[in-house]
Amino acid sequence: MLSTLLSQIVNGLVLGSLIGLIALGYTMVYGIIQLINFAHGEVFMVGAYGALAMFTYLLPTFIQQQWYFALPLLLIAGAVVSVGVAVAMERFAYRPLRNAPKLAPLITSLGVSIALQEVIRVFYPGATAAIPFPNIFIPGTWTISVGDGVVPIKYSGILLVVVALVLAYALNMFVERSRMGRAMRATSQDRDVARLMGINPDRVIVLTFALGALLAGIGGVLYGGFYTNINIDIGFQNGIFAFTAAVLGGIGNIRGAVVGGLAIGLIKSLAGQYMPGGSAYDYVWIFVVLIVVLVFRPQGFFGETERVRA
Amino acid sequence: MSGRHARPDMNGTGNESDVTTAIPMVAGGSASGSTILQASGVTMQFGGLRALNDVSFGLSEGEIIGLIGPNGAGKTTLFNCLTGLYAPTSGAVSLRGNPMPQDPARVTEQGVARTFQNIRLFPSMTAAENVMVGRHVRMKQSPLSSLLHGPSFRRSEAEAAERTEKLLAFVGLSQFAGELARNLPYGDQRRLEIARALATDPAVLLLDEPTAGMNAQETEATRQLIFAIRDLGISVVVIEHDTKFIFTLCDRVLVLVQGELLVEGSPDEVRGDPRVVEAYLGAPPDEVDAQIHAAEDEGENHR
Amino acid sequence: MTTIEKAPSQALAEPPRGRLAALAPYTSVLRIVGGVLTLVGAFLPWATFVLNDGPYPEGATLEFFSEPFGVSGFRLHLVLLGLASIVVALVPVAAKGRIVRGFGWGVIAISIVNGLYITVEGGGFGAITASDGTAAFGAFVALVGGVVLVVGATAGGIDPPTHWDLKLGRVVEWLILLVAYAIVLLLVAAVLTSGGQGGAANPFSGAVFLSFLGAVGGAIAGLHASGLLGWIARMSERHRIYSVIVLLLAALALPLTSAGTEYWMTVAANIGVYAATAIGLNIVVGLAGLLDLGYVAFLGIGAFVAANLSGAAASVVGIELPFPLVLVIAAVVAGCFGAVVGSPTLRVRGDYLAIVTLAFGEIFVRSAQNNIGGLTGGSNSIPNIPPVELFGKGFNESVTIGALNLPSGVLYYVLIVLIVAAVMWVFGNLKNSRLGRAWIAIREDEDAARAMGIRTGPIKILAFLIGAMLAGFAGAFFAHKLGTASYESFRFLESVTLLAAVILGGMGTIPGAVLGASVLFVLPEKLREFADYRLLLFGLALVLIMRFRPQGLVPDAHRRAELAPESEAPPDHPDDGPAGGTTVKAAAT
Repeated sequence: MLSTLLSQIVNGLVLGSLIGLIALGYTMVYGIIQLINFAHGEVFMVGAYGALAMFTYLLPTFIQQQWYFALPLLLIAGAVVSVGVAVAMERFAYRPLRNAPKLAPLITSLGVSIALQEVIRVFYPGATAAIPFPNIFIPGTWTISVGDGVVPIKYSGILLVVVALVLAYALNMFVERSRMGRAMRATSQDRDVARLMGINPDRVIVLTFALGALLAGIGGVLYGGFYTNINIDIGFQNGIFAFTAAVLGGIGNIRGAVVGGLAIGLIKSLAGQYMPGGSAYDYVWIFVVLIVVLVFRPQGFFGETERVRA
Repeated sequence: MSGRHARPDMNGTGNESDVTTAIPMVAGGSASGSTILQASGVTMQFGGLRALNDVSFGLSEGEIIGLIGPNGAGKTTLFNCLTGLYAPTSGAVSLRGNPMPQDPARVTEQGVARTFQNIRLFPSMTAAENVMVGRHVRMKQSPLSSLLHGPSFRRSEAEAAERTEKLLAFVGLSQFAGELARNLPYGDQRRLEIARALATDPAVLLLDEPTAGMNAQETEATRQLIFAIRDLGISVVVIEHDTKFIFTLCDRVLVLVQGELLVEGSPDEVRGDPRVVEAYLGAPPDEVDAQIHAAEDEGENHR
Repeated sequence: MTTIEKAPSQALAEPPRGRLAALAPYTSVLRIVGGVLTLVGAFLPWATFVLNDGPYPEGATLEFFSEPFGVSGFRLHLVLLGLASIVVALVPVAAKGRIVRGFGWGVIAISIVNGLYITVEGGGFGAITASDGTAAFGAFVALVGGVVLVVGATAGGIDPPTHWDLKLGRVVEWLILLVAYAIVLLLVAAVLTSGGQGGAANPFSGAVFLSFLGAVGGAIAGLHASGLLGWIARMSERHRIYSVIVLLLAALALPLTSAGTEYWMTVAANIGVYAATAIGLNIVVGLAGLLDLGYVAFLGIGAFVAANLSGAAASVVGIELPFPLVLVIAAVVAGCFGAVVGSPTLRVRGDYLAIVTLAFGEIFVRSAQNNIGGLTGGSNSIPNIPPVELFGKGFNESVTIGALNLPSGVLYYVLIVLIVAAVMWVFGNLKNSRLGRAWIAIREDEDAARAMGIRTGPIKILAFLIGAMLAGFAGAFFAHKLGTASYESFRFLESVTLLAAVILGGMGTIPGAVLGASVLFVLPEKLREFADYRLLLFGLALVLIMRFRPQGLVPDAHRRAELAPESEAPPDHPDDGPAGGTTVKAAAT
């Protein structure tokens, strides 16, 4: 049925935009310090909880009820919490390991990921189960009739897609045009040379973590708004998807991360609909795609081929 | 021969008598054997960059060939083509008339071993273990035998250990057998790399800048070591920037410039060849070495 | 480079650093003062109240004064450490500073663990200071004593551990080793059972356990510094086969110690399962250097294969095969999957490989969760897997040999000890072979390994295959022991835990994997009262280990230098010093 297909594509695009938004953080961090930051998914999750906490405990009722007041405040709260967590984690967990063997930061990121998830589970009231997330945008659904069925599109989904694309575009401009962006690119090419050129790599790396976290935090809030509830597992799951997306698009490549994210979103929703096993196996298909891509085109859609060194 | 051949500073041009005293000894080796390694029209293209263009040469049994050229001339690329790390875009490499396999591991099995420009030892293994790894291809030990440690296992381990001991003695590293490779002094690491390559029982040994970073004594010791290796009947190809080292070591010298084989001949021929001077250096012969070293210094940081 | 021989004298101590330099002249005094403070702390009361759950274990309340010589438990440990510190400070021995530093850290650990526990239980600092007219400063005094010990030890400089070259007659050495292993056995039993079974009925088990661990750790650090442990280790190297046999017998004798109850046998069997799996993972990660983040899947595959071949009612296969055969089949099936999972290594390296293995692990869990092919039981799991039977004897039954009554679970324990021993044998033999060297060479430098003629592709796949087989082997046991096979036991977190076990213990070593698995699977048992914080602490511990001891508890001699912080990397010197006497070497033991 056409309407089913279109609905799944809509779902896929919404999820894909979100994953792309998270993938940007993975791709930037990997590009600059070659670290798969497993904790980045938790940064996203923490952003959602941060915004929820602000909504629940700080906002007066009249603001809670008006999305145009609440939305910007929640976005700011989510971004602040995520950025704070990411900067702290860079400073205290990763920076001391800058010259350690490669395994050390990777294991550390797993540890940070587990710890962050548990901090929320243990200390956030009610976080042992899913928590309803407040409405942050025009409630309701825009329905389009197609043939014999309808394609529902939630307004919060439209918001998510638009915000994700705008932010990705802005990030791209920042990295390509600004002075700091140039420093980032220089640092990712060769940290030592960048240092000789007067760039402070530590600052650039913190900025990279912060930028990634900013996007992830905003993503967390939009996720909550669209899916209407959050739980502590959303970070790990979406984090893995986002990493897959980053690899798919070519790690270190901003456009690639967004395209990869959209591709992952579409794969998940379409495979869940049309592949054998149904939605119970939609995760499996993403991982299958991940493996196939890594094995046959590890440089991704937009990445460059690596040459053997000798 | 003694350390007087080695040059402690970068500027001195080698004087004739040094070279001529060295040559007879080199010529004493058997440079007249049959061809063992043959490169025919090897071309290597990286995207728009032609790193090697139609390079052909043959290596005879028991011969020492020197490969010189400025940085970026394609010397290491040629090594990589010879050892199966790169598949040439066109052209072919053959070993004893058989085409060279496109897999470094099988190339080594066939009897071509190499060292690396930037030392590539196994840093956290001991010197002896490094050499034992070199025995890998010659050891008859199946995974099952590795697991069960039966009599045949013990025999093959004993054989490998014995060869290792001899090879370490051969390169003069016996006292460091139990030392981690990472802890060896730089010059000894280069020698250990040579011992490791020799452990594969090669017919051809490719040495990529074996004296880089060495002082005069170490360079001289390396020269003697290479002669000793040649005397074992192993053919050697050496990449080196130190032209004096090359001219006093090799039977034949190849000059590679911008991926092309410019001149090939005896050290004397190459030294006096105006084409080398003109095309490669663009300077009068006296300044040859100085130019080469200037080029070397500039290019030091590039791969 | 030559061997550096050092005479045992104060002069060779590394120069005291920074602020502590000023204290150098008072080293001995500080050490004695620290020891005395520790003793005083041990004899002072520790709590100003009697805990609700009854007296704090081992008489840590005011009642202490009614029986002044009844010092036991952690206070006994403090007394011993304090006395030992004073003795070491007064007697001329080598590496004094390092020995006392070890003791000092032990004292600090004991003080903090117990002090913190009493504070939390007693609802505030009043519990360990003064409240309601009673005073209890034991924790503070002991803590200060520990700190003074460490400061005093460090101020005088830290020598490398003493190296004993003493060699004795074979019989004497055998006897010494026998005694040493007997002590190890008793120590293991004591550590395992210390504090008792965790849980609501026994809320202080975690504190007692951690405190005991701190005491043992401090004592071991001191003994290591004195050179005794290194000496025994070298002795056991000289008598390898004898040591292996005695150790195996010692392991089998654990049921005869205080740990010989059903509960501890079960805990020990679980540790064994994870130790065997961790050793398998150690082949992949520690030797071949291939990071595997989905490794627990192979344990799961082994378990599900065994479950399906066990005749359990819920299995769709429904055939029942003898257990030894099941073991082999489980290993082979897991090995096949291992080869499949490992095949991307032909093209994928480093981080990307880690992600590929993670993806395989996730695919396994999702598939198992969805009861793929009816083989895994999905969320219902496969329950009621019958116990292993041999000669009509179920392995879950208790055993009576003459007058000796052994609890149920003993047979499983014996079985897992044999399995772990077999897995160790496989690991040890492979490590010291052509194959093992090839793995290590690949770990060190893959391109150079290929240039040495190593066909890296097949050899890497072989690492995955063998590692997976060992896990499958353990999985088959796991399913029968547990009686159920559920996907929930094989999730990402378990993979991370196994990886953490390998890293915590020390990559590439057998004792490391066993120790790491033991720590990571005993701690949760002991800290049940903190179950809510278990994963939080686990995550933080991972971060801290990577930060402060990335080389693990028992580092491989090879990797030691690689993962240790630059300043502390001990150069490895050939052991060719003169025999006899206690020469101090900068050698790593």
